[in-house]
Amino acid sequence: MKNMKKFLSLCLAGAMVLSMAACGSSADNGEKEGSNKDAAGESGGNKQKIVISCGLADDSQTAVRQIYLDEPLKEAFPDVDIEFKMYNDRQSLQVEVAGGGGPDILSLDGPTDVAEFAKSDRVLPMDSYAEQYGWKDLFYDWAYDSCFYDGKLYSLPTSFEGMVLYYNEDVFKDHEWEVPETLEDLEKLMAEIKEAGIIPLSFGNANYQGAVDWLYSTFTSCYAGPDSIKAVMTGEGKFTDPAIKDSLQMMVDWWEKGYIGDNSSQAVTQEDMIAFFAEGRAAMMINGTWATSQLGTIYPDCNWNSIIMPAKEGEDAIFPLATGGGYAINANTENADLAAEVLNFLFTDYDNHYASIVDANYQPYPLKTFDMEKIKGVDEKVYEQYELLMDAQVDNRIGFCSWTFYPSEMRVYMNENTDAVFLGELSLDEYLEKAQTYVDEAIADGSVPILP
Amino acid sequence: MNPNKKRKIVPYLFIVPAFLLHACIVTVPALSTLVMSLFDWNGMNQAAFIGLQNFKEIFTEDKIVRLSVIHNIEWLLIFITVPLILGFVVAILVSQLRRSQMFFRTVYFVPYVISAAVAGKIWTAYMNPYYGLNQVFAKLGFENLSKVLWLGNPKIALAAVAFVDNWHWWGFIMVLFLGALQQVDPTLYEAARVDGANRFQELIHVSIPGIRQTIAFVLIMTVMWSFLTFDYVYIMTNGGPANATEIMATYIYKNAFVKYRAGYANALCVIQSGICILLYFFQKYVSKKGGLEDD
Amino acid sequence: MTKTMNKGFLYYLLAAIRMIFLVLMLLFAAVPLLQVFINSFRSDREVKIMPIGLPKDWALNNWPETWEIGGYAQAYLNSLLTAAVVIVVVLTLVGLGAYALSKLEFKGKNFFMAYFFVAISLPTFLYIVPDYFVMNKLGLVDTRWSLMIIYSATQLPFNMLLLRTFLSGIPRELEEAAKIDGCSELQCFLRVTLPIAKPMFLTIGILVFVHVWNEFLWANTFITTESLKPVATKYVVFTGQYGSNMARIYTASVITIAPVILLYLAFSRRFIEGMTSGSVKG
Repeated sequence: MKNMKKFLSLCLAGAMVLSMAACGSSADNGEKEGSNKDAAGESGGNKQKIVISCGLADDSQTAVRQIYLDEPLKEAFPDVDIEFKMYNDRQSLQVEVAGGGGPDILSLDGPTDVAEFAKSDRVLPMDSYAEQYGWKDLFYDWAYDSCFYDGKLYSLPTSFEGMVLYYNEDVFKDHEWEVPETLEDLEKLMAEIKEAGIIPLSFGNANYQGAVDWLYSTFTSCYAGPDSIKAVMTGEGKFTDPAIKDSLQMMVDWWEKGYIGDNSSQAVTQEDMIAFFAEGRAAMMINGTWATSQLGTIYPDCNWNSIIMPAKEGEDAIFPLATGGGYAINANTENADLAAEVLNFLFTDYDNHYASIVDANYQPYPLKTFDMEKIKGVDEKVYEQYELLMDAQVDNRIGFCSWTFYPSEMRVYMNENTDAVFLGELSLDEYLEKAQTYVDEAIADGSVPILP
Repeated sequence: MNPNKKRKIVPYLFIVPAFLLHACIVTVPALSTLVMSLFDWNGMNQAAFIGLQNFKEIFTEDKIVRLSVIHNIEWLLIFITVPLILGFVVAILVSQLRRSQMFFRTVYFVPYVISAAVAGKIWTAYMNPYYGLNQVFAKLGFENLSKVLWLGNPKIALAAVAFVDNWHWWGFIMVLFLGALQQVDPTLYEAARVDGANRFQELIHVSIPGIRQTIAFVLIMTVMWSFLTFDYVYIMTNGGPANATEIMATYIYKNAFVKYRAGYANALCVIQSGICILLYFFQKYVSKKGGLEDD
Repeated sequence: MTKTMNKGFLYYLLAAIRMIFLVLMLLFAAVPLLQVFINSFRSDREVKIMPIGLPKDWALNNWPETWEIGGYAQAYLNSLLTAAVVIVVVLTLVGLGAYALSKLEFKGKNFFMAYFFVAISLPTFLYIVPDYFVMNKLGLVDTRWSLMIIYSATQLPFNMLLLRTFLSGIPRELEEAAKIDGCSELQCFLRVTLPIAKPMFLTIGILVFVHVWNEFLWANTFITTESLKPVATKYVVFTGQYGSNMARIYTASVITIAPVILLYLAFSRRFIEGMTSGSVKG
């Protein structure tokens, strides 16, 4: 098989060289430009280069990053050229990595995502670095443990986050609505909000269908309970069990009643989802803790607040938790040791990290040493949100978000098909059964994530 | 070199550069990937040979493939009728104008030069249920119309996207037809008139036969492009809601880049190209039989 | 007497219906675009309340803001440079190739014809990864070169077929006459065919420009350095970053499409003459 691939790539290379020659001879397309480029490449000298991928950011976000990441890195590594490169979609990053290139440090969506790269040996196992730098003691165990695939560490968790219920205080005040304390309160309230011509829960996934994972992760965690999910992942339970089914049935019912997304979530974009909430067209939304940053920068006038999804009367409220992403080292890199050193610096540059949380609403790394005192200066409501998060961790009231704790293929399936369940084109039973088959597969081949 | 030999080589010198460039950048890499359709491959790892497993799954298990092919066929049916008829009718009408003809055809063609990214985004905004044209309908008193979720309702989403692609596309067809109509020998019309033909008969017996080659060209292109189309669906709905606008190309994209199933995506590509090439020859055959084409 | 009057009346009625229909189609093509232009002068709030309408207060800030944030000056340059090179390469290769396909007799001509037809049906996703792989090996990824080469190659088949049918319309006698005067095929092509076919080359040049300017999938994958990104990718990135500010998105839309529209309008007469000078055949 190996020979086959080699042969193919040789063929390709040969073909391309031929085509270059054809190009060069048949058309004189600006030789000057090419030589300029070379010169620029050489003037860089022998300085080593580390490229770190990052998501799409607008100018103000980039400016913030300059202060808290680019500059400190430059200071710490004066001899290295460190650059952040924006990727606005997965496909370009993936094509690059598959094509033998790509950034040295990959910022990926989380363990389920990293697993696909690890499966293909596209990212390096980092166990030796972990030992060298003592990473095991750096991170929360649940976050650190989630980064293992096939017994090896392949990424480091970049942030910890969770799903909360946001509400628009102005809208609540105008209508004299009370913040719900139990699930029963919430359901009653949503009926009232709907009655008043306002969308109870803003939701839209037109430009990113996978956003449904926020919903099903929240409903299964909060209303089926973390133990049911844990049982599924260990093989003791099934995803089709009544507890899980009931929780998702509730999600579907809410959607059908127009509570979630006003029956038109498939036609509303993610940006509109936030806009509707901030502009008061919707009263609440189920969104991640990361949304505080968008709310803070784009809608500074919006008076929002957040709570954990209210639990059923007499039960504990559960905080669905996840790591926000993972840094992995590209197997194509020439400077793996240096990349590890850069990563270690990023996670231990505490002062800048705390400052970035306070000043720019950055998401905190899941560090054991995380100190609430240090972020006292942050927006009050953001601070309260962190308190909720910390308390939930201490009391072990944590739920599981799919992008950290579900098998990759199960998540892909659920992300693609939840809309079909909402729209009545797929029955909930069929959906759950199919999802369960992916759990079975993952358990069989040992790729099922370990839940804390 | 003797001149006769040189004569024989010259045509190749003319055509081979283009052929080589295209073959090296497109065909050879494409063929190399075609082989990958026989592998279990996530796009990055060592591929494992699995024979025809991927094709078996496509034909027996995967319901979405069938769904996307059906959507492609629906797309084809829309594009082989609406823009062609519209383009043809408008071309006939515009060709009768004198002074204003240039103005009309210039404006009709403008949407064609606009990128799918922009046109898709603009129309997505116009079709937004909260701040799109629905607000206009509501103001004008069309209650029902103002509640339609153009891109959110699985029953009409595909038609809505096709509508936008048509908006951009029909002007191009119109200009092609108009060009062809003006090539038709005017003496044929005169002859028809002498024979006492009315306008409609002229159309059937002179205009349509006169532009039959253009019709054949447009048909071939429409048929093939209908199965390759990607831009508008990708930008406006990305296959959603609930796979209601999933077409071959978007499904291939998802398999290759979202589901990490590059081998499977390549198998789908084989089917897509296969359908296109089959349709090309079928269309060629029908055109020849139907007299749309010479030789 | 009455008969002619009736005919006259009917004639005018039909002409009026025809005109109404044509004007409606005109509005259908133009109004969505005019509205985009108008919306670029309205505030975000206003646009969201009512997408169609004239500005109540002229919001002039959209333009400088969007231009500045989007980095469009550099993007324009990138797109223009890429398009210029691609146009030269495509016109050269397609000109020679189409000349051979339409004017010369040689073995394998049918093969080449069929090749370029079938080539159109190869889906992009079949060759994007291997192309990236090899380009990366050659160090061309993230340079304008990569796009120039790829666009040149992908633009060949369709334009080849288009130009071939154009050229078929030119009587062969003209070139034969030149050949008797001692011209080689290349000289024939350059001195006889090219001058006659100029409008067709212009038409194809514009079509190539439009495609290069509008392409975003390849550019998105191959170019990651901000300062090298062409206009269409900038636009896609911009809509991702500022997705909720509709006024800015409308403005960015105008910035993105204005050059193609202006170019097209400037050349429209000759462009359409080119399109119509040889009817397209399959």
